[in-house]
Amino acid sequence: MTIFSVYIINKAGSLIYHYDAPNSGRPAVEKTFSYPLELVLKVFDEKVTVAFGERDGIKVGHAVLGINGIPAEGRFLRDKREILEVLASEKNYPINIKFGRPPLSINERIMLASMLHSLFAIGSQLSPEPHSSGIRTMETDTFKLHCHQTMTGVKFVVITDPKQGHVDAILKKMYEAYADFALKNPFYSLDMPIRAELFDNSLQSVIEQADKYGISNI
Amino acid sequence: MGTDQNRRRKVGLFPSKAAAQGSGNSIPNKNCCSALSRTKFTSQFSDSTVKMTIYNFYLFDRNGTCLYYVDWNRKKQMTMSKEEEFKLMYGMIFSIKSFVSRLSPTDMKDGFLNYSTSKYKLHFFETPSGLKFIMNTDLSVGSMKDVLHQMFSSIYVEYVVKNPLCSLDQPITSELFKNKLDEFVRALPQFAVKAGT
Amino acid sequence: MSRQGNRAGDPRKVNGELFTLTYGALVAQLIKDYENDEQVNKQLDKMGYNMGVRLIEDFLARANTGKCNDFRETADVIAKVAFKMYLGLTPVVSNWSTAGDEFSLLLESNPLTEFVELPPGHSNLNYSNLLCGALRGALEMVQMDVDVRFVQDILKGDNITEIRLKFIKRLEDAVPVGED
Repeated sequence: MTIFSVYIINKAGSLIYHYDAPNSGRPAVEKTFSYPLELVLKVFDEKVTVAFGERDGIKVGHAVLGINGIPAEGRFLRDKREILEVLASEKNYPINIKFGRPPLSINERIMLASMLHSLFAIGSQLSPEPHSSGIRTMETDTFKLHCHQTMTGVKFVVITDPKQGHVDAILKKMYEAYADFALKNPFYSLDMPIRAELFDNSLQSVIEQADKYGISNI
Repeated sequence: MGTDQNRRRKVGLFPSKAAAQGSGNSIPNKNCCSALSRTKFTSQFSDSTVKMTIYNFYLFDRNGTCLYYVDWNRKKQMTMSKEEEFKLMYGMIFSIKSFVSRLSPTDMKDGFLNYSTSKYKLHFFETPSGLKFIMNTDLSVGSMKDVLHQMFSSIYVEYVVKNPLCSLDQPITSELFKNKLDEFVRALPQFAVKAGT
Repeated sequence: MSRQGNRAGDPRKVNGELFTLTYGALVAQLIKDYENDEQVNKQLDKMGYNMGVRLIEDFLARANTGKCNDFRETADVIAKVAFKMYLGLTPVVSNWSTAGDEFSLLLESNPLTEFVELPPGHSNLNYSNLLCGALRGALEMVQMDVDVRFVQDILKGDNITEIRLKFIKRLEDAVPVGED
């Protein structure tokens, strides 16, 4: 049982909560290079990404996550130096660069949430049968997405391992946690992002229980 | 060239065969119904509530042109025109591809495979050349990846790519392709699983 | 704070009387703060509404009731499941209008008014108006616009407490996609 992440989307399509499992970190490759760099790097979407030259597990589309142990923040390193400039100057070599799939920024997550919201609606619209719901599960070769829409229009989305079967029990538990720790908190306003420690804890314990005892035993 | 001639001759054969079959008004396929079970079948499902497992099929080229569309017993009538529907379908697939590639925790190989709603399951297969095969089935159907691949390799490639009269970026009008595809789909075990039992 | 899990068997964790007292104190304060009973009723309805729009999710998350096909089913779910779950009683559903768009919930007892005696001069006050607001709010979240009000109240000398629900319209705009 592996849950990668959890998203909660309100009825208007905005992301109100997200959670990433700590062990679901995107794999990264670290390698030491000597001058000149054989890889072609380009700035794409405010990230320095590999445009050409796949090798040793480094793929096109991977972003520079850090140099010599200093993490990257967008096009810059944490110490404010621009990544492409650092890599262009010979005196910095040999240099250790960490590559990997770029982590999702909060803006990207918000965009993905609203994208799912509309995909869900189109999925229902394009149904060959009348009265279809929207997308409930989506399978890919690397993950499986499960989406549960409540009668009030809130969507609970869980991303799991592709082999994972039904996660209805988990989705239901999460809905309960949401009803308890978000909605019953008088200071939480409806449809707004959920920032409540109690909710975090309760959601995490649902996921941990599922990990430990299997989904059927929650 | 000789084989091409042969195929062309087969085209002529088809309409009469189809007409003979069509007269019975029984959509279900000939392969799984013996004469005996067919009578049983028609009595059981004399009205239009026959539940088929394959609803429809879309084929898009890399530019989003719908090369071919066919449906088998699709119940819901669309409020939009076919052109709008194709655009919406292509747009959705395009967005799903971008969506899953961003969301994926690791690097993807095949990417998006299928999705299910409460009523149907959409299967997707894309060739490296950007052709998109999309098939809607009911929920009980498992993976259709191999089937879609077969439609590509043994029907599209054989009867469209190898037919010099078919242009590759225009909707397919070839009767031969149409018939072969129909025959192929009707013979699939997934086609009549529910209707036959 | 309710704990997750073992809740179905023990729906009332807080002492019921404490709850009744809290509600009483709230209404009494509102009467002091506002000019007239109409305004108090309105405030209670508002508070109830705010509770209803939240409580519905709790209800849906736990009650395992599916979608209702008509208003009669809704009435049954409200009376037999929701009232049972949150107030520990089951009102009688009756007085259906011929069109089937209006019905009454008849309560023989009301936990909110257990110790209450209405002082004179408050004939317009609907002491338990919070319930109306809560019902309205909850139903609105499942895309039903419903008018809810008290027509009889034991507190005012009637034989029974009666809450009247009138279906106004389905909120089509608010229906989430794929839930038709």
